[in-house]
Amino acid sequence: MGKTTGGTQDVDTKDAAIKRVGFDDKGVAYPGVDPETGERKAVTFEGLKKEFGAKDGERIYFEISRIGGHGVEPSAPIDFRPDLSLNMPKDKRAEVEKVLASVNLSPMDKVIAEG
Amino acid sequence: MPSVADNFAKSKTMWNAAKVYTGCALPAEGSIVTLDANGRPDSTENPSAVHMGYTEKGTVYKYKWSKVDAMDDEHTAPHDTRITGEEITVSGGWKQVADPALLETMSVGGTKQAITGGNLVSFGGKKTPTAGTILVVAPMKDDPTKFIQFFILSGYNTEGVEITNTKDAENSSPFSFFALAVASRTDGKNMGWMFIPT
Repeated sequence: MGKTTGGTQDVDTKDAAIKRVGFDDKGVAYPGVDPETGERKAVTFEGLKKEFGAKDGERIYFEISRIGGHGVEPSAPIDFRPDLSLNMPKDKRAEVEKVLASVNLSPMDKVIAEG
Repeated sequence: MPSVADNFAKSKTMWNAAKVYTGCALPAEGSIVTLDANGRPDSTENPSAVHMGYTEKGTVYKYKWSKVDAMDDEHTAPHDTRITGEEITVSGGWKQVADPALLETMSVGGTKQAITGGNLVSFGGKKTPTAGTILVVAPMKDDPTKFIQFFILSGYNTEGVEITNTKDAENSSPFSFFALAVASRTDGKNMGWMFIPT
């Protein structure tokens, strides 16, 4: 996997604080997360709600859609919540990682991550 | 006198079977679907993607537009034109009608439910069609390691299902995925795209 026939490339997500997210308590990867590398390649509406809770999950979904220009807004028909690919330019991908990390880190982790 | 060069390259024509996928992740603006060396979508990046199975006679990706002309009494041809409608469809015939998951997706109005002994796909009462992404992947004619992508951002099959049971031929049900606009994407890019690798 991983050959890209055009478009943009994923960024490297080796940051330790980011690498912990994406797995449930049993160590099972959420949809869109590579179970071996932990790299998050996509997000799903239901997956984010499970991972971050209904309120934050929904907010993150639409925030990622805004950053990536996917175009899915809260006002879109309720049955149109497609999975969102994170194959996007590096600067936008970095914004996505910040959004994900801001919710997932514990308060102490946040202090460490933010220096 | 310099002259215009002939513009024909066999490599820029198409002549290959394509595969159709539903439920791919929606790419970010300006990005496409990541494929493996065989032209299959990355399953981590596209966790809900499903191959639609083989088609009867391939697929047709169609973009067309409609217009309104401004006429005047002094001329016989319009003096202005506006695009007033656009349509993208992906159509063909799909074979795998006894696949419950595909049947649910392709029928649009169907709902799949696992019960003892099998899967029940029920019809009747849905008020709004569920839309999703549609991807068609076709190898390039002269370089099958490169793939052309046809994409619908949000669409659904308007043909439902049509299943003929006969001893004379394997079944094929017509399909036509009809694109909706994802209105908050940039104008001119809000229905779908075609990606041609270099």
